[in-house]
Parts: sequence; C-alpha cells; structure tokens
Amino acid sequence: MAATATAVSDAGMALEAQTRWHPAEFVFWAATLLPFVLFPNHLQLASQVAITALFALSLDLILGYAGIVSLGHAAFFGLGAYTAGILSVHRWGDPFVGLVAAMAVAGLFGYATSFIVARFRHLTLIMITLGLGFLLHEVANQASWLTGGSDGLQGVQIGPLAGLFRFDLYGYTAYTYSLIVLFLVFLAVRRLIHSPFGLSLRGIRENPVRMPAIGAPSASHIRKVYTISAVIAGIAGAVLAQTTSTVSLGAINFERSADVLIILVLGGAGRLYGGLIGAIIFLVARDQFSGLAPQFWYFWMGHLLVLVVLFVPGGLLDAPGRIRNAWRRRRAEGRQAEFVRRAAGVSLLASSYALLVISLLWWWSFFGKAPLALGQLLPCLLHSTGPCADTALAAYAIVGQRPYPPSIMWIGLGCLAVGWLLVAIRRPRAKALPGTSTGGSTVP
Amino acid sequence: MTAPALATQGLDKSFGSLVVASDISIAIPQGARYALIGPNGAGKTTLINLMTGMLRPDGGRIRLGETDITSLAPDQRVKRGLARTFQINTLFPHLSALEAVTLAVCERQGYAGNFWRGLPAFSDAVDEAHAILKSLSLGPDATRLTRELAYGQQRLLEIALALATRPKVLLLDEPAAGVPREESGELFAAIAGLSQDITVLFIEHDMDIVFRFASRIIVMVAGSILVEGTPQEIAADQRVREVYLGGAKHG
Repeated sequence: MAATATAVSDAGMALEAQTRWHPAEFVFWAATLLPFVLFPNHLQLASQVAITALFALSLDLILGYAGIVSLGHAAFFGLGAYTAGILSVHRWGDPFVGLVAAMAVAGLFGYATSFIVARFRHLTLIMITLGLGFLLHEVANQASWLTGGSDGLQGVQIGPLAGLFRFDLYGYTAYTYSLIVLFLVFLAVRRLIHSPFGLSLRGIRENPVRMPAIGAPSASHIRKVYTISAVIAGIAGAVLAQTTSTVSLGAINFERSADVLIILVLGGAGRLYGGLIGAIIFLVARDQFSGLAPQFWYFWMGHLLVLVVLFVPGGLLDAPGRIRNAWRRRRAEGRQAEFVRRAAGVSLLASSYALLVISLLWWWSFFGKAPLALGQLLPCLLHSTGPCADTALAAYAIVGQRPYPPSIMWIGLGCLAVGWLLVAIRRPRAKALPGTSTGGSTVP
Repeated sequence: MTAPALATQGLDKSFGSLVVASDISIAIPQGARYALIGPNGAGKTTLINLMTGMLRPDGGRIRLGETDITSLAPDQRVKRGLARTFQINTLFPHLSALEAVTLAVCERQGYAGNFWRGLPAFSDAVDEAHAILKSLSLGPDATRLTRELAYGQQRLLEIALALATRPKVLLLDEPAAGVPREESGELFAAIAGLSQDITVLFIEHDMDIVFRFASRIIVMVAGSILVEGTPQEIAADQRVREVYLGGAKHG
C-alpha cells in the first residue's frame, strides 16, 4: 500500500518536474537586462526584439501548442497597434488605457473569427487566416480618415508611462516597458501551457482525431486559445505603437505575419522560448545586415530557414538536444574523435560557403559599378591593391560604402580547404576499400 | 434497467452507390461482451464510426441507454458514456502515457477549461490516470513518451484512454490488431478483467479469442447483419460457415 502511494506521487512529481523553472530560464531573463548596461545605444532595438518576441509568443500558443497554422496573425498585431495609436490621436494617450483597449479590440476580433478558424485545418485554415490578414490590411489602407492609410497614422501622442516616465529618444523607457509587458505575459502563458487546458491544446496538436474520442470539445478549446492569442498579439501591437509613437501599414501587412512565422519556426515552435530566441536572432541579424547589404537580408534568411527546417526541424532550440544525442550515440560506439572531427569539418564548410558568398556579393556590389571589364575586376577578389581597387576606391570613397576586404575571400578559401580535409579523411577501416579494388583489378 | 446499454435501429449509410450499412438494428444489454465479426469490408468499423458519431447515418436511430444520441457530436457521446478505441493506433505521440490519460481524465472531470492552475494541482486526475495505467500494467512506463512505447503497450494505451472517459459502453476496434498471437491473449485477459458494469463490443478476427471472450456474436456481411447469436449458435450456423468461416473447423 505504501509502495502504491509512492508510485502515485512519483507520477505527480514527474509532471511537476516539467513545470519547475529551469536554471537556464533564470539566466535568460537575467540576460534580458544586459542591454541596459552593455548596449545602451541599442535600447530601441532591444525594445523591438521584446515586442517581436511577445508577438511570436502569441503565435506559439496557437501554432506550437494547438497546431493551428496562421499566415495572418499580423491582423491582431495591427488591430492592437491601430487601436492604441488612434486612441492617442484622440487624446487617450495613456499607455495603460491604450493597452487595455488594444486587448479588447484584438480579443473581440479574435473571438469573432475563432468560430471560422475552429472549423478548419491544414491548407483551408492557412488560406482563411491569410485572407483575414489581407482583408484587415486593406481596411487599414482604405480607411485613411481613421488610420492615415499608406502615410501612416499622424499625430500619435503617447503619454508618460504610469504618468511618470516619458518615452525617451534612447529607448530607456521603451525597453523597460516592453520587457515588463513581455515578462508578465510570458508568466501567464507559461502558467497556461502547464495547466489542464495547455495539456488539451497539446492533445489537439498531437492528434485532432483522437480528441473527440476522449470527450474533448476541440472546437471550443481552439476558440478559447485563438482569442487569448489574439489578445496577446494585440498587446504586442499596442506596445509597438506606444514605444515608437508611429503606426503604419507595416504593423498589419503580410510581411509581419510571415516574419513572425519564420521567427517561431527558426527558434522552435511549441517550446515557449522558441519565439523569444528566434526574435533575438532575426532582429539582431537584420540590424547588423542592414549596415552591410540590406538587399540580401532575405537571401540569408532563406538560407537559414532552409537549413534549420532540413536539419533541425524542431528549431534552433532543438539543436543542443540533437547534438547531445548524436554525441552520446557516437560515444557509445567509441567514435568520439570522428564525431568531433566531422562536426568541425562540416561547420568549417558551412562557414566557408557563407564567407565565399558574402565576399562575392560584397565584391560585386562594391566594384560592379566601376567602369572596368570583368577581367580587370577579378583580381580585386583576392587583392586590395591594383588598378580596379584604385579606381573603385577613388570613386566610392565619397559614398561611404565600406570597401570590400579581400581577406574575407581568403578566410573563406582557408575554411573550405581545412573543412574539406577534415570531412574527407577516412577511418583506417575505410582505407581497406581501395585495397580490395586494386586486388580485384589485378585479376585480369 | 431493462433498456439495452446500446441500441441501433435501422441504421443506413452509403457512400455514393456503395452501401456500407443497411438496416443495422442491434441491442446490446447491460454488461454484455459482444463480438462483431465479418470478412474485410463488411462494415464493422463503419458501424463503430456510426455509433460514435464519427460518421453521420443516412437514416436510423442510435440509443445509449435511455437517451437518443443520434444527433449528438462525438465528444458529447463520449461524455454520456460511449467510448471507443481505434484499429490503427490513434494516440498522442509526443505526450507521455501519463499525460495522455490525464488529459482524458481532465476532459471528463471538466478540468480541461482551466488555464490558470498547474496540472500537478489536479492530483486526483493524475492519480486516477496513473491507476488506470497500472491496471493495464503500464505503470512502470507511465512517464515515457507514447511514441517510445512498445507496440503492444501502445495498444494497451488505446484502451487506457478509452477507460479514462469512464465509459458505460466500450467499443473496441480490433484491440489486438498487429499484436503477435501469443500476446493478444494477454491483451484480451485485460479486457476480460474490466468491470462488469462496462458493456463491451469488440471487433476481432481471431476466432479462438472471439469464442473465448464473447458472450454473444454478431456476424456482418456486406453492410448488413447476417446473424446474431451465442458462440455455439454461430459456430453451428451453416450460413456463417459458408460466408465467413469458409467451412473452416470450429465448434
């Protein structure tokens, strides 16, 4: 009897262990304070990251947990942004008032559309969410008397936070505000996913056919989570409007819906932190790239997305676990050295690919406009001196574009060589193969 | 008490010109163990789908105890005590066995709408789920992910999920499908050990098991009921021998 009691409490404890805070979570949230100290000039960017993370978190609730794919989630983000913005134009600039109003409007629209969403799955659902997104975008575009249309909303006046803290130019208040809102919503979502309702959502994701067979009203669960998700997206939109004092069609367009989906898939859907990590990587990388060659941003995003979906379908947060598993397998076979060597080789090859493509793009964007033949331009790939370099440097020094450094090409070639060597080395056992083939060739 | 646990009356269903159920009328008394047999394509699974509401009948009524459930949605039928399992595993691959059964218990208890309190707070649901798993000897593997369980264990989990809904009537669609012969007896022993309050209708192809565990047998052929009777009657029935058993030795 005593043994039974222990076994039962063990079962409960196994579930409780999942809800407990992991040390890495404390580290993560402590690290969110670092921008105040380390990057005080990038607090606006940090604020954008927090807002996007919040938006991704709201998508994670429906996509990662309930398995509902949405390509029009910006509709709710935009509703929140426009609600907060329009209120402030009409002298309701208090951030909290705007926030609550945005929640109400986004939630109401979410609840209304949830009745359609809960009935469908797969492609139909994607098309419905896409259509709703387009629909709201066009409404925002056409109703320019209310929204400012394609010019954006004019006259957004956000009052001080809690009546005390003005939104400053450096984004100190903005990041504080975004971070607090993100953290509070995160706490609520974290509670939700560990609740019986959260378990039911995972059930819907795992097997929508089985749910009704265990007496679960899936449609009502979906309506509920879709509304909650819409409210959170509305909050994110409102915070963006308030911290930047601008609302444009960019808050509600398809690109925003697509970006947040990419962010979530990159980071890892259904993992609570996937959207957060994804937002950091996406926005910081974009910020860095925009200084270099902004036109290639989606080129690289495309690479990353394809690679992640092919090799770590669970998202980047899934990668450590996969690498650990692979390492354990190899260790069990006693092939640690080979694992390390091949891993290093593959990483070097990947880096060399990135470096070589970057150098080609950079080289072409810098020298391509110079009045020289291609044959004269080619040496510039490898040398920073010579006629083409002189011509181009003279011509473009004024523009202020950063000159192409040939060292990138050299490093890329080095990585390629070393990486290829590391991957190509065969184990002694494999060396037996050429031996047998020569043995065979001696027969005739 | 005299009302049958589950009854159908003149159930019809056809897909285009293909008749999959025609005039199915059965009445399963409280606590009975019925087997539903018939050649492939006879409409056995279709009948279960009709009774559980996964398919809408073209005509006819379905009664669960005293209530007419013909127009109810599948999940509402489950709430009224009609549960089923699936011939092909229809489980939650990335939930642990314990989570999956707890999910079913929470749905029954009405906890599933709660999004504010952690799952461990509903210890009665968790304990009940664990007790169900232990009763089907899945206790030691309760915390493993469903997809990591052995196939036979997954078949048991199918039944555990159905039991978690506290059914009055349990419809088992080939519970031992794909399980090696020597293990299927074990699985049916677990089914035989179920409370007599639960009425059971099961589909099974293994005649030894059917004759061992069923108190009555319904034989379906081409969408309609050929004959219904005790195992002895069925074994002696010439039509069944011709149509289904193909003259094989039985009884």
